[in-house]
Amino acid sequence: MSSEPAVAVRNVSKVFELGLSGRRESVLKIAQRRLRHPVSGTKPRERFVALDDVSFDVGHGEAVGVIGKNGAGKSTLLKILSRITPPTSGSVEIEGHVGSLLEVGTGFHPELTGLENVYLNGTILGMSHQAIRRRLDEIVDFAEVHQFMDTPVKRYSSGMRVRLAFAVAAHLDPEILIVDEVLSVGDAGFQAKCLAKMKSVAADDGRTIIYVTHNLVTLEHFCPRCVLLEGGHKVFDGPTPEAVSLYMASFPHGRQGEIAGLYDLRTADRAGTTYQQVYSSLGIHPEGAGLGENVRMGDRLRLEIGVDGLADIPEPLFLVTIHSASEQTLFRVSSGMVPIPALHPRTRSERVVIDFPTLPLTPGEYSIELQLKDHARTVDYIRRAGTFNVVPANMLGTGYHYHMDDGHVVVPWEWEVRPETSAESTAAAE
Amino acid sequence: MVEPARRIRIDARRHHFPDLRELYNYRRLAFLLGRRDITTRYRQTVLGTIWIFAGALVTAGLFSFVFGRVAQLPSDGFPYFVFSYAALLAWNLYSNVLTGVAGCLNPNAALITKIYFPRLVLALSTLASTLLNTAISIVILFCLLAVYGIPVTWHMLLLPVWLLLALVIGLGIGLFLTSFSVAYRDVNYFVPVLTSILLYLSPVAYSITAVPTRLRTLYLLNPLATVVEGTRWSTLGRNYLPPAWAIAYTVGFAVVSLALGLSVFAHREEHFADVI
Repeated sequence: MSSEPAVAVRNVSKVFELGLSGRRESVLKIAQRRLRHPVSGTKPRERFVALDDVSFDVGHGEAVGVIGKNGAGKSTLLKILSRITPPTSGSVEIEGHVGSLLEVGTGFHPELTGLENVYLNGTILGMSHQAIRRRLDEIVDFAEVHQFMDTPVKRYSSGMRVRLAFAVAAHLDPEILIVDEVLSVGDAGFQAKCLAKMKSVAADDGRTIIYVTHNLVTLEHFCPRCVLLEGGHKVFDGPTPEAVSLYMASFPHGRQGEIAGLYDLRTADRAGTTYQQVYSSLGIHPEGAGLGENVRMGDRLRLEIGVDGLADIPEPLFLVTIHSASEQTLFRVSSGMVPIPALHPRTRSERVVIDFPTLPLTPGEYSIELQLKDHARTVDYIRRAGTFNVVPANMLGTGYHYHMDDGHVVVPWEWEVRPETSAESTAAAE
Repeated sequence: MVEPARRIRIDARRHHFPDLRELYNYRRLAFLLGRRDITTRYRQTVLGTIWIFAGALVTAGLFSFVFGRVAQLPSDGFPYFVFSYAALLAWNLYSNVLTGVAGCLNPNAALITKIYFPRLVLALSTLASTLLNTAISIVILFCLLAVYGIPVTWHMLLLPVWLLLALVIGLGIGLFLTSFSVAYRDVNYFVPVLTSILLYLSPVAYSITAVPTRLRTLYLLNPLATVVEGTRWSTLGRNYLPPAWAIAYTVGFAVVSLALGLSVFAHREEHFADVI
C-alpha cells in the first residue's frame, strides 16, 4: 500500500463523434457532396461530450459511489476506468489489480456447459486458472446449480444462468472492483444473497470499490462517499447522503421546458367516448418537493385534478386508476367507493384533491387514468392523464432494494413464528 | 491473469505496436476462446470432427474432376487428387487464418464493449481451430502419399516453413483487415471476394508450369504462389521450386504484412469499443 491514491482520475474528458458507428455515409454520398461543395465538402461531425474534465481520487480501501441520471456520463466513466475505451483527453492512473463488472455473464456461451462457462467467464474477468479451480466449489454452492454443471447453459432457466454468472463475478477477488448495477439480478431471494455477498466483499479492508448505480438504497450501504455527475460534469463529490439529496433535488426541474408533474388536460388525448371536457389539469405533488413527477416510495402523494363545468353533471362519479408501465391496472379509487365530501355547492372551476398518505408502490413508472361517469354514461375519459416515477427509498426500514419481480404494490405485514399447539401438530402429522 | 501489483495509466495516447508481454499474460484466455470455438462448432453434430477434413477432401475431389478430368490440366505426372490436396493444405491454412482473423471482432461485440483484454487475443484464438484443421489434414496427406506410393523425401523437412509462411501472411492481412472491420462492415464482404480471386491466381487447381514462362515473374508476385508450390515441392518431393528471389520476396512479404497488421491493429484497437 502506498500513499498514492488507488485510482487517480485527472481531467478526464470523452467526446464521441456522432455518426461514427451505425449509419455511415456511403462513398457515393461523400463523392456527391464533395463535387457540389469542393471547398467545404468535409462535413464537421456532430460531437457529443459524454464526460467533461472530470477529476477525483479514490484512496486504497475506499468505496465510492457514482450517481447521476441517464446520460450523465456514468457508463462512459466506468468504461474508461475499465480500459474498454480510452479518454479523449486527461488520464487515469490505477494502482493494483482491477476487476470490472459491467455486466454479469459476459462471454457466457449457450452451447458450453456450466463448468466450461465458469472457467471461460472467470478467465475473461481476469481470474487465474488456479483461482477458479480453488474457488469452484464455492461458486457452484453459491449459484445452487450443482447437478447442472455438465449441462449446456442453453438448457438453464434464465434464473439459473444469472445465478451462475453472478457467482463467478462474486468470487473475483481484485484489489480494485469496478461495479455497474449488477446487483439487480435474479429473484428476490437471490438478490438478498447477492447483496449480502457484496457487503462482505465491500467490508474487506483494502478493497477499493467504485460502484455505479441508480439504486440509492444499496449505495448508502456500501459507499460513504459519492460522486454526482450531471451532463458529463462532476457536480458534487462528498458524503453520500448529501449527494443523494442533491441528486433527488435535480429531478423536478422538468423536461422539455414544461413543468414536470403539472399536466394541462384541456388539450389531452381523449378517447372517442368523451361527452364533455371536464378534466382541465392534473398536478402531481410528492411530499416536500412541491411539484414533480418523482415520488419516493412510501411517501405522501397528492393528486390535484382541475375540473370545469361540473355543475352540468347531475351525479358525477370520479374514477382514478393507476396503471403500471406495462399497462396493468394496479388499483383504482372512485367516488363510488368513498363519496367525495362537500362536492356541492359548485363553482365553474374546481379542484378535486386526492391524498395518498403512504404511496404503496415499488420503484418504476406509473400512469394515471381519469374517468368521469354520470350513471352509465362516460362523460370524460383520459387514459394517460399523467405519469410519475416512484424512486427507491428505505420504506421497509430494512434497506431492502425492490426489484421488478417483487411486484408493484407494497403492503404492510408482520412475520411471526409461533410454537405449534399440540392439537395442530397432531392434525399436521396425520 | 493475476499480474503483480502495478500501476497502469489510461490516457488518449495511441499505441503503435501490441504489448506482447501483456498478450502473453492473457494466453490462457486465447486458449479457452479457441477451445470454445472448436467445441461449440462440432457439438451437437453427428459426424463431429469428420467435418474438419471432409471439406478439403471434397474440394480436392472436385478439383480432380473439374480440372484434372474435364479440363485436363497438367499435374506434372502426379495423381491429380494428391496434387491438388497438397496445394490445398497450404491454401486452406492461409485462407482459414485470413477469414477467421478478419471476422473475429464483430461477433464478439458483447465482450469488447464489456470487458478489457488485449483484443489481439480474439484474433489469435481463431487460430486454434485452423491449426487443428491443418494438423488433421497433414495426417491425411501422409495417408494419401502412402496410398499413391509417393516417397517422402528430405524436402518434407521444409514443410513447416511453407505452412508458417501461409499462416503469417494470412494473419498479417487478416489483422490489417479486421482493424477496419469494426468501422467498415464492407470487410466482411471483401474477404470472400479476395479469397476466391487469389485462389485462381494461385497454383492450387493447376501447376505453375502451366503458366506461360514470360508471365512467371509477374505471377510470382503473389506470395501465395510461392507458398503453394513450395508445399508441393516438400510434400510430393517434386523438382520444381520457385526461384530464390521469389522465396526471399515471400518471406519479406510475410514479415512486413505481419508487422503492418500488428501495428495497424494496435493503433485502432482502443477505439473498437466505441464504434462496434
